[in-house]
Amino acid sequence: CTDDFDEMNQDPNRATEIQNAPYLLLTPMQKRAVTKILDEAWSGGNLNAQYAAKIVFTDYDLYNWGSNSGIWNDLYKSAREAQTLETIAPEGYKVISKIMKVWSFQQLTDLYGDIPYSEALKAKSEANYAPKYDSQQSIYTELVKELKEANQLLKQTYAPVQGDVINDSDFGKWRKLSNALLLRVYMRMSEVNPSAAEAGIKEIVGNASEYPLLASNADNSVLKYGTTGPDAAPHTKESGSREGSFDEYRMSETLEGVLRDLDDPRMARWFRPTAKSLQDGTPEFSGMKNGMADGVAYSYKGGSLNLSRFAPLFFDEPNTVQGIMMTYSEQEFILAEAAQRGWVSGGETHYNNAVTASFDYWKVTIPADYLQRDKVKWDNSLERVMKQKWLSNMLNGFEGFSDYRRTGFPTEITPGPDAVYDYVPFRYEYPQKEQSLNEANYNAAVSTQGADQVTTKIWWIK
Amino acid sequence: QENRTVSGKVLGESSGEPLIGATINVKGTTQGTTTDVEGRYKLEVPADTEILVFSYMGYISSEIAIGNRATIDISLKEDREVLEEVVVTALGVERNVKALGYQVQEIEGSKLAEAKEGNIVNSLSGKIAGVNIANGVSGFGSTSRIIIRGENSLSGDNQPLFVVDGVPIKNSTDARNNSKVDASNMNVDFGNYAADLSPDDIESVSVLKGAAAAALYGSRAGNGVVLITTKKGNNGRKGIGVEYNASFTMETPLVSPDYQDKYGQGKNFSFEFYDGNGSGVADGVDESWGPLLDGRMIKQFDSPTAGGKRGADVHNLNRAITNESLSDRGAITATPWVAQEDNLEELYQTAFTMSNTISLSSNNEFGHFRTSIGNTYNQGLFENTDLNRNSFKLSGGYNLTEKLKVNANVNYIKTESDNRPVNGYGTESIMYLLIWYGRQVNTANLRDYWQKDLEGIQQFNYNYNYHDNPFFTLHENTNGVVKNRLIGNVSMTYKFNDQISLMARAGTDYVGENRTWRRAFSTQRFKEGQFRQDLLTFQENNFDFLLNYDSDQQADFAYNLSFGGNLMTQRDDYNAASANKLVVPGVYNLGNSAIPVVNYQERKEREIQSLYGMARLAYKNVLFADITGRNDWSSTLPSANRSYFYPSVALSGIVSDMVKLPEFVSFAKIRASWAQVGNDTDPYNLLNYYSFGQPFLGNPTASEDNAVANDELKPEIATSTEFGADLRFFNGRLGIDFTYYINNSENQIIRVETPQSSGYTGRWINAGEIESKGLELVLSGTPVKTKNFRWDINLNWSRDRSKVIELAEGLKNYTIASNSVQVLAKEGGRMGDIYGTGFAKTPAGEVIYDNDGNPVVSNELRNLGNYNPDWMAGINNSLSYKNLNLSFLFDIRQGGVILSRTKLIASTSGNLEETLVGRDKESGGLQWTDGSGNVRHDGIIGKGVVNVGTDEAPNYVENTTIVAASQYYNKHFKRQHEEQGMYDASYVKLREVKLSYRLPSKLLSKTPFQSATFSLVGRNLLLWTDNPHFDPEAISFGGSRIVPGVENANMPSLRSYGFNLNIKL
Repeated sequence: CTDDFDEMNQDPNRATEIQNAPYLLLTPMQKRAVTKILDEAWSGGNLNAQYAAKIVFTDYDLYNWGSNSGIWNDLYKSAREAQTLETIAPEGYKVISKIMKVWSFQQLTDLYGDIPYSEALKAKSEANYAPKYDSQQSIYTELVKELKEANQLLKQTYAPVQGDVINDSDFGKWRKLSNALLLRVYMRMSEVNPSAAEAGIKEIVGNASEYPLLASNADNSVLKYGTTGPDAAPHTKESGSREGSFDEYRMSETLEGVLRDLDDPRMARWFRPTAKSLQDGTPEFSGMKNGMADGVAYSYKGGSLNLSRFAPLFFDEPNTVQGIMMTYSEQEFILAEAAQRGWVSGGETHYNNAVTASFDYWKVTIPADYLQRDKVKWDNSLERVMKQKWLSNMLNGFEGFSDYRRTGFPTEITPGPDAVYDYVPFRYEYPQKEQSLNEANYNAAVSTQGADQVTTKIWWIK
Repeated sequence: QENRTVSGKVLGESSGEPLIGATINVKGTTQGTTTDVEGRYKLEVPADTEILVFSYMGYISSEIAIGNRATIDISLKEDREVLEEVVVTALGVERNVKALGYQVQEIEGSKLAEAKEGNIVNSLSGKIAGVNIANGVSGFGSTSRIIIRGENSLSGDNQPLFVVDGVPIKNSTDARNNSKVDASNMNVDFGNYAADLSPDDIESVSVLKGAAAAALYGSRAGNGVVLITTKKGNNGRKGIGVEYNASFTMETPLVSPDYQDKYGQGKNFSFEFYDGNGSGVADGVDESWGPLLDGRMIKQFDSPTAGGKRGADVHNLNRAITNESLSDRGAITATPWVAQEDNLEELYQTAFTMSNTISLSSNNEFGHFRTSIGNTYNQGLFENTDLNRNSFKLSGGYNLTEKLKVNANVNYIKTESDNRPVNGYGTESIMYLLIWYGRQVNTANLRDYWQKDLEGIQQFNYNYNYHDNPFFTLHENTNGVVKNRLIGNVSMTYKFNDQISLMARAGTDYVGENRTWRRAFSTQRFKEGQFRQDLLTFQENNFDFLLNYDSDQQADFAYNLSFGGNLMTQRDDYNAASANKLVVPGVYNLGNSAIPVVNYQERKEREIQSLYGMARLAYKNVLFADITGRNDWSSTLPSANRSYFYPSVALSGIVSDMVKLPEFVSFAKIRASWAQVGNDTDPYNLLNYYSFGQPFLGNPTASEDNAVANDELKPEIATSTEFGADLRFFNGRLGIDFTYYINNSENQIIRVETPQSSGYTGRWINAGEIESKGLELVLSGTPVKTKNFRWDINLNWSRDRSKVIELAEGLKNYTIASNSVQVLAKEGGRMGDIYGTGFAKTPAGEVIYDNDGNPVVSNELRNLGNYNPDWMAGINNSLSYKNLNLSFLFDIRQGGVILSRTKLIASTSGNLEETLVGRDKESGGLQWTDGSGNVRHDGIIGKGVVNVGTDEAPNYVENTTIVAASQYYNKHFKRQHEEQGMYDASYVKLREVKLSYRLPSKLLSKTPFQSATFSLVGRNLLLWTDNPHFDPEAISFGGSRIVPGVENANMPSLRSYGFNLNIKL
């Protein structure tokens, strides 16, 4: 009399198949990956690239990074979800998933170096519970291949998808994103494989029919958050963040210095005058030095009341901050850099487009003379392009950090007085779980890439 | 037929006192009477009556042939002296201890009821060898964890099955969370479910420790069984028996963290309140590295202001701090900066527990009846955390015919509380606040917890950056519960003849529970308030039959054969809904949600069908054998593997009856058993599913399982072997019971971890082997026994080692739980090994410092010890003089470690007393000059070395770099450095003291009272342990699971003392 046991042991709460509704997986897959990077941009990327500095709990700012499992876990998980969609969903979902996967894997390899790629995500399909690590170089080759395939696939028309919270089923935008990401991938190789980077970028630029690109901020691929509760951007009040935790992050003195030097009005958009200056009725901005020891940090400049907080938009407004996959401004900076390197033409135009787009993105009116100022004007130098790109990349994931690791610009970034290293480290350590659960492959990766330390260089850093 | 009359007196042999209410029956009938207050009886019996049976609880029944006598005076022997103990064993069968091939320990209910614990589990602490109990940490109503003979399972909770009157009941703790809510609530401990039972209704508790003892309870008894027998009306008295039991105990903290009272809130010795939000001098920080508490004048949160408000009345109607709201508040007038030594005590109130139970019982030849009504009320250590429990119980039996008996039990328990305290580290918890609480904060000034003119929408607090006002938390942010519990069963026994009987029974355990979370506007985690409701219903039904055949028990070879079956069904429903933002403040209703309500729903069903057989054999009453076999069919396993069989054999021999032993050996028995128990898994582990999630931007969502399912799971099998001996000497004055066991659990159904890079974080497999080996020793003795004075000692000692023999192939670690530390199983390791991180060390074990004088952190997980004790012991002394009895119980745990998060975090916050060391000149602070050129006296040099060589060729020299005290403590006790927060968990506790006085029967003879006993009782009175801050007997939540070995912002454990009164009419 156990005939009904099979039925009884069928979970009534959950579904075994969702073929008829793949959007159930598309939305959380996109949200997970993009939100995680935004989340970590606030607490990690912004410190690495010295947009922000911490006044208490400064360990991270001292480069005690250790292993980072959050990004690893969330991005591998969303990559798995993308892979599932590639198996079960209609074509439109598949191509979006392909691009999301490339974006996620690039984030992962840029932060960790060699990572599981070719054998990754195969626990269920092939019972592979211990994927081998691939070299970053070979992963980059695959990312290029995947993006080129996506670009080809997107020539077709697809039935609309539901639940696409990035581009709302606009396949034209997905194609532009795919190509802009291809530019990002190529440019990352500028120091280790300049010829491939040059050839790749050249193939894209000036071939708008084959490789359509972003034309304005309207083409940005971003996750726009909602106004309430679970829809709100991370670290905002609406998302449940505590004000005290939010206020631990202050304007970095490095960023302050550059913005002041350029008399850049983005400072007032991003930061608040200090509490003390507001109490005294004489509002003024003041930055915090990165990399100071706990305690000392708290008394820097007489304490937190003399240090600029981030602007209310980052905390009080639930949906002003966006989860960035790629912006027009970043793409134009890549093209400006390519021009500066002599690979393509039109450097000044791309540069001006990029700077203007950044002001526009942050809803700051660009001063009429800004692009002509001595310290801003296009001068065909890498330093100038990279400094403006750095400003533009505030809270854009780890892009500012990656560009610094690749080019060494802006040179204003220097480790703080109490930092553990006298240079900015290069990578995150692998999660502890990789060490314990994927030991043989982990050890193999360490033996080829170098010690699993934040100071070990990854392939594309020269 | 003629009747004749027999009369006489019944006395207790050792006391010589009359036994009141002893029963005298004509053997084989229900005809009988009871003795009066002088122990006298008079009974009319049929003329052909041959034998009378005299019985009295706690004494050995005596059968007396009447002969021609008209008067029979008799002294009954106390049962402990003649080794005729009867214990309740599996399926509720009462058996003579001497026939058992395994160890069973039993505790009388009266012992539990006297020094009452709110939780029946706690009251077993220290009393039974091999039973490890950890008290809950949020006072009355919190969970206690019980582990019998070590941890055998990698994935389960390792707790025993609880059985009441033959029917299993739910015991586990349910801490499920609405998993779809992003900003979820912290764990609240609503208690383990067995705690619902009233100690006043319990006749006895038997602990079946090994698999052989528990084999007949099947799958779920793999971790042992706690068999609870409730009181019945068959206490052998005529007429109505009335019993009243009252107790009142006060509870005060046994141990609280030692906090310093020298420095107040702030950083770098400075502080000035401006808005409590970081705009003043260090007024955003919540650490106590601020100014010396010397009475200097400093602006504070409770200082008066020019606007006629308090310093911290800084918000406007929109709960924002603006220049306007600050000017409304006006300038703050500085007030004296002084220590508030009592700022914890101010938060505590005197906790007490009051319990009243009254019962009525009666019995006659047709049956028995007992009903009780009881109430327990507890006022918690914190305001507004009381709990009320009402219990109604009815049990009765009736002989419908000579052959057909019916029994029924029903117990309804209602538990209600407006607020259960939050457990653990986080803003919702009071103890979290106390870890950070500024040492100058005058708690009384937080009592008025709303800001002026913002009642109901904005709390008033000393710090707005991280914390909630404690009174606001206690009164506004409540976690309520209403729980209805019904436990009942009906059974019928039909006796075909003297040999054959059939029992059929239906039992149910139903729990309906409504939990509500309220969060007011301006709460740190829920700025616009929250209302959450969790509805839990659970029901387990058991249908049993048992066919018995008894041979002639007087024959040389006697046997009993049983064949039985069980059908067990469980259904569990969990419905949670959460409004995480409210429209109107203070209205807690899901309809008042400003955003879509987040729903979570879960239903689980399972069924196990079983057939079993048992043969109990006895040869000349000196050799005994029990053989059982059981087959289960579980709904949770795949069809090919769902049927599984497991056997057991238990043997015992009474050596003292077989060979001639020296005179001083009064009894000797040896026993051995071997048993297997199979186990299934949880429902729905065979297939992969998609779970529905919370919508995002209006889009419905789902997520895939993170573990790869396995549709070929096999049942788990645990095999245990037990040897033991039971020896009594000097006519029973000294007893030694000794047990050795080995338990191997194989084929465990576990979710092993896989690296996330494989796409999934785990997979379900059958693997692993855990071996538990242990020794148990029970010594009982009566060193002194005179007519009026008696001294009994009972000592139990046990040691268990549960080792991981094998994990899955290729698997090095299995994470059993993580809770700041990781509880990892590694091949060759012990169950309960704790891993965490600490500082880098030289091969010689010295801490390595960097050039800035800070310890170098190593992220490599290291073994920090084991949370299980090396051994446990309980020593109970009982001294009786006439009607006065004094007993006291020491409970000892030796070995084991515990992580204290309070130690770690309250060291970084500068709140613990030991953080004063080095903070100023007089506390040994070194003089140094900081980066800004200030000469300071708060320097400390970390003890250790600096590597002045290279990584490859290190050269270690002594660390000489001075750092500020605040930096020193911050770096050394950072919460991730678990190694720094470890303590030896050994302790000795004076667990229980009872002084009771039973009024002499002569005094009572002129009153309607049959007996009256008054006791002074105390529990957890004294504690000797390594650390000054907390009770090492602690558990905490790791996710929704209870994990020992970690003190995580625990509430102080409580000492209780009071009285108990028992009156029988």
